[in-house]
Amino acid sequence: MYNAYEPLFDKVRKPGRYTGGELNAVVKDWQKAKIRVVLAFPDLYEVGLSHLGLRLLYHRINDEEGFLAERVYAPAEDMEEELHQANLPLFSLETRHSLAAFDLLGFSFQYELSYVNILNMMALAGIPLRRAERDEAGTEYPLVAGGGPGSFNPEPLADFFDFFLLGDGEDAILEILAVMAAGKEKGKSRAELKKDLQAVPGVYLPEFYRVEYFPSWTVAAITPVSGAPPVVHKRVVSDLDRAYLPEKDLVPWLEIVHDRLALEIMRGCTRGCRFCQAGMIYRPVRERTGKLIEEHLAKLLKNTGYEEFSLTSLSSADHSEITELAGRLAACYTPEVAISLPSLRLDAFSPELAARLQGGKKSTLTVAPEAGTDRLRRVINKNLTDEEIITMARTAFGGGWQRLKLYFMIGLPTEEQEDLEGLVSLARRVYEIGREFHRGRARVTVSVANFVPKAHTPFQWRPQAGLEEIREKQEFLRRRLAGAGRGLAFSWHEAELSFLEGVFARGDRRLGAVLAEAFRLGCRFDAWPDKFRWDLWQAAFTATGLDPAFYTARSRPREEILPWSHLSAGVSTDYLWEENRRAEEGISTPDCREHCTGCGVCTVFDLPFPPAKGAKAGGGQDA
Amino acid sequence: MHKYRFRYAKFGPARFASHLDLGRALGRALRRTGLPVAYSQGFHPLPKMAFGPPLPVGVESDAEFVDIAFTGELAAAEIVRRLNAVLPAGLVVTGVQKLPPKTPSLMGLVDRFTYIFFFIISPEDTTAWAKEKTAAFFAALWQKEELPVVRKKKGGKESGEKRVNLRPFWYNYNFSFIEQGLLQVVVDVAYGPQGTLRPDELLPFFPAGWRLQKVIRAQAWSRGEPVLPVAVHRG
Repeated sequence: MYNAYEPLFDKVRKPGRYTGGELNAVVKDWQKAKIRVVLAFPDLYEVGLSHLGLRLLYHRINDEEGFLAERVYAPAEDMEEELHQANLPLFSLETRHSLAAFDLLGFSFQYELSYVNILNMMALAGIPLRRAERDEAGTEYPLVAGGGPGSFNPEPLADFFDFFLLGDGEDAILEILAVMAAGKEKGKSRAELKKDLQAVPGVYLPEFYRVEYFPSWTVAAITPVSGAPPVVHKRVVSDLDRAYLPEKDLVPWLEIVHDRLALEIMRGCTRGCRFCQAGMIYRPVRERTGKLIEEHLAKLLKNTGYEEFSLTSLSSADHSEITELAGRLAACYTPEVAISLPSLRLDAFSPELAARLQGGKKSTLTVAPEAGTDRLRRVINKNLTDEEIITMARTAFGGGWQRLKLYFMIGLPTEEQEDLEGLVSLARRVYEIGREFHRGRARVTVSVANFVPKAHTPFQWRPQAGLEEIREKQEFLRRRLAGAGRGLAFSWHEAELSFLEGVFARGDRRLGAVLAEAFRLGCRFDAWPDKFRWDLWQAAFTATGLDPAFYTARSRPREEILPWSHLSAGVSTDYLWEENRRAEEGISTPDCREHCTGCGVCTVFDLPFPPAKGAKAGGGQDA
Repeated sequence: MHKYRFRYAKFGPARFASHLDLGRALGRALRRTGLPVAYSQGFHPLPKMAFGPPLPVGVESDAEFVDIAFTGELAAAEIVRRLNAVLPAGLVVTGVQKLPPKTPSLMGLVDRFTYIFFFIISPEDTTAWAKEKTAAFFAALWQKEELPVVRKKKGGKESGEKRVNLRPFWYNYNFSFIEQGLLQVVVDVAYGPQGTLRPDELLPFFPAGWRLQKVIRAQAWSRGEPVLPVAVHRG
């Protein structure tokens, strides 16, 4: 396939990011396709191809006659420069068509700090950024859509996008494409097409909602127009066993971030951690049965040849069949094929099972206390005690592991100095246990993230810790953990990145101007600390006259209309508020597999309640 | 343990695969065949494969080699058939031979490579006069005693630059105009502990107007003979 792009490949780093041709990539006849979709991931190939959801949609669409799906990832700076030099548009991997040549450009929203890359990718293909400009141009440009966790508050992108899909995409995507195909055949206008799309459940078209603001800057009203429903409910695939699952998967040439086969064994999580957006928006829990997982895995391994596979979900250890399943798979495949779980969290897994999964190799185990004291853990509903964590550490180090990772957050609601001191002493105690067993070889990594309140969680009303507060807390931890010994490492996240993430996580439509300005100023790949330009972002806020702290620093009252009030994940606002209140009082809420906590999602979608915990792994908190 | 030596071609989407990428891709292809591949011991067993000299990224090849060990004796043609059925686009096995025990490794075997450059040139440069001009250019280049390049040292403690004279590693040349505007240049270069040259290192010495279309490693040699097996199968 020699074409105009070929000379560019010799000039850029890792040309394999752009050339396609992976095993199981699908190249369909462009002319024969009724509807052409390009699935876009606004980060580098190695990151984007690792994403399971987009690969699922890719095969889902291509399995249908008449529909074609291709892929594109954010070009690295060198390729962006070459495209400008050669005056060529950003192109799809499969047939090297400009993104502008497709009927639908669908972005995956995984994190807020990729939003500027979305604008850049559109601009590189010559697609007008603003929806209104595209509408004026007739049917020349693709519809631009988004899906993934970001669509539960896509408001900062509302001016740029035609529609968003809330919730599970594997069935909804075909309904969307069917509507588009019918519309295209009848020669419908963009406006008519979007009217039709409004009838597809889960589809949110921001232009059909008028947002008004109070002079005090908060939202005054969100009013549906043109007959749009007052609330858009997410899509839910009710039975994962009957849900679409491709029998083959892409096998890249390049080494990607998660370079292994991934099979989703469960969707949703029942633990109810109050800080966790995924735990709320992916409810309710739905499991694939062990037998189906085994059968499907065998097919996928045969068709990909991967040397490692991962059983993925938000909390794989909670799958009701996980112990037997992991045992059977380990017996069947290891050591020639390795098994991994998204993270081998000791709070969910016994060391015996961990050892089995790691094929006898004792690499790193992780524990996620999230907070430094029992009290703060009750606040966030991460129900582990110091003593349980110490016991886990003892079991792990005693069982032969030399490396332990501890995940924490700072800036949590109600956090006091005492909680930070608790974090330090917990980390030091764990390290001392490591030294007892392994002396100088013991390694403990203390990884501390900054808490960012997210939409649709019990903490959506809470203020986010400011930059100064985070920096001071990090400095305190750095000082207090530094002297503990060479084997204790402390890692943290840039305060500015978390701050910006927080602005967009709970932002409204007016932030679109900031995104456009940051893009114009040259911001790219903001999630990468070495590429992040805080100075340019500050300039963008100044130029647009928006105060970022309005979105982060305020405590929001219960009656405030949140920018995402018209978007529903099925979890009731009363439940979220009640969880927020319980947090204030330090009362924990049980895992909903044990006891229904009344979030309402199963009722809204008329689904069975999650299966009770089966014969889970021994050890950990459930022992 | 039964070892086989495979000859394969690498082109198209596979040409940007690095040596490491290729190892992963071939390992995965072998798993897909379901053939009884021999694995190394340890926590993460790897298929027992030994590649010939690495191919520069971006270069296509008709002459790549890899030795693979199997736990059972298999019909060579059957292995090739099953491998070719599952290899990703851009990789094709073209030859196979069973190796007797104690066969020396590929790395020590190859001492010369043939590369073919394809250049796009302006059509009027394909006239008889242009051929004379090209012949004169190569004759002059061949006469040079020094073809200096600066190589960047990668990795290790000392990184930096090293000046290398390519001339001793350039063995011969040939050129022809295969169609309007397309010039084919064939060169043989040294390979081994004494030194080598990468095809892209020669490009700066060629006229600026020649636009490189592609480079192919066409043959690998050992003591004046093509490295075996030769290409017989076609994907």
